[in-house]
Amino acid sequence: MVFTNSENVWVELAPTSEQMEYNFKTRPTDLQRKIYFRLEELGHLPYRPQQPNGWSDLQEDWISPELLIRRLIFAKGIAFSMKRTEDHLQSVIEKNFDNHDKIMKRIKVQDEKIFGFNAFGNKFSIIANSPEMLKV
Amino acid sequence: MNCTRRNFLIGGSASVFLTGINFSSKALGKDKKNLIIISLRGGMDGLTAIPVIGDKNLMKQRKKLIIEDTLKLNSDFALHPKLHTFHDLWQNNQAAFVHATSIPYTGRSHFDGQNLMESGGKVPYQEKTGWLGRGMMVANYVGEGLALALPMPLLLRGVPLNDNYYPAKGGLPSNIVIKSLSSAYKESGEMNLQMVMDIIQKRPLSMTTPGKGARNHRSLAKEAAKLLRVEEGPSVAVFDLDGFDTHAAQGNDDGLHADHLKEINDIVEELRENLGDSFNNTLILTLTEFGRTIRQNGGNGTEHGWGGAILMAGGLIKTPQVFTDWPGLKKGDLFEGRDLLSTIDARAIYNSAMAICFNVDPEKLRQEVFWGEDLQDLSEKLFKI
Repeated sequence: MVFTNSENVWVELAPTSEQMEYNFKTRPTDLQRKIYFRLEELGHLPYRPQQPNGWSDLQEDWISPELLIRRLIFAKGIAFSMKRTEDHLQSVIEKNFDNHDKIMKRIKVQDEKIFGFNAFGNKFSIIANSPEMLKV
Repeated sequence: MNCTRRNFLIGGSASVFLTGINFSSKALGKDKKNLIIISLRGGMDGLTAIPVIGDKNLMKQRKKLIIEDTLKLNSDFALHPKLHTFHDLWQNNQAAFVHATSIPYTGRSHFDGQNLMESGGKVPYQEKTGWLGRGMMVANYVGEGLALALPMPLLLRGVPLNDNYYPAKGGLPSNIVIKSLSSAYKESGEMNLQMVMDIIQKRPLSMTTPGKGARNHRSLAKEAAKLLRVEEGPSVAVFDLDGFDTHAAQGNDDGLHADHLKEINDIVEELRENLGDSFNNTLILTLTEFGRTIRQNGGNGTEHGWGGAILMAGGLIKTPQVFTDWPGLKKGDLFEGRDLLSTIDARAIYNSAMAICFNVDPEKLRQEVFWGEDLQDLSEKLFKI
């Protein structure tokens, strides 16, 4: 199994043009560095692995409890600032996956209360870490 | 998921691992022994940690780096004052040192060196597993590894189901997320992911809700000790320390290198306090890619060298000693005229340590972990059998 590496995540989280206005005279603002901080917490800071041959995308090198935990927390966190709705999520999954029913079923439950506070974050965490998503 | 050969092999190997758990020597009722490795990235200076007493060559070449307030070990060697826990343990027959030792790598690159200190090989990036992981696989120590680091160090790869812990800043998502994903992985036949999820679910509360400062070395060591002292817990732990690469302002009694030595000391101190009686069945070893040059440079630091030292602690130490075949520090005795010569292959010590802790024949480990390379068996000389 090959895993989505952090460079891909970074591209997908491309900041808005406003955020990208660097002036090269002062340090990037914290808002501009937000993605950097988040990816650092993900444990996979792009272009900064310990070794110069880059992050591996192979399962053997990747799979470990802490990295999975970081992905769970990461997904929950970005869901908060994505300002998207569940309907949007549904349409994205439907357009991209053959087995979209199976994926969406994981967050369709009778009692919405079990998702608790930040329900969308928890749902997004499930979707983003589904086996279909982790694999390339 | 489609049934391809690849998926079949993944599923098949997972079931092999599961049966393997039943046959680990721990399950057979032997006393649980812990092996703890502290990786020191950047190249620890053996001559700062364990200076030679009264060596004129050292005095002459390292005027600004001579340590004044040393703790005396024997007539030849002393200990850096920041390593005082090792000195306490030395007096209780629970610490020993190996000097003038290194892995066979004689280049000067951190990247290559760190890769080789973990893989145990001779060609950088050739091996995709670590010597510790391979050793654990030989001993059937499946699910026994714990890394206090992110990402999983190469050192532990080669054996499945290792745990790693380096607390995240946010809290885990709610339980429903864990449960839902766990069953999704099971459904899709992703056994490895599901087993990782199982490890996460079994974590004690103190690990899932870490407080402030949970990432400092003392807290990590405390958390590791809690798990290591339990019979069902892991028996192998790996710490990762960085910053030993002191090219400038290395310092002597205090300073950059001293600060990092203190981190090692802190870890050992916490482990000793929190392991309790298990400390008597524990072996702690340090691992670094190379030592540093004898001569100080213009910035009062040192460059990448070769020979260094291994610090050892724990109840499985045979006798307090500085185990060395000392090559001397005269110009002609140095490696390439600049570094302490390594007279003992460090891998021989790690091989012997694994043999003691895993209850495996050292010859078997030498063949299967280190490809039968010429490594002497030091278990009788260094460790309690």
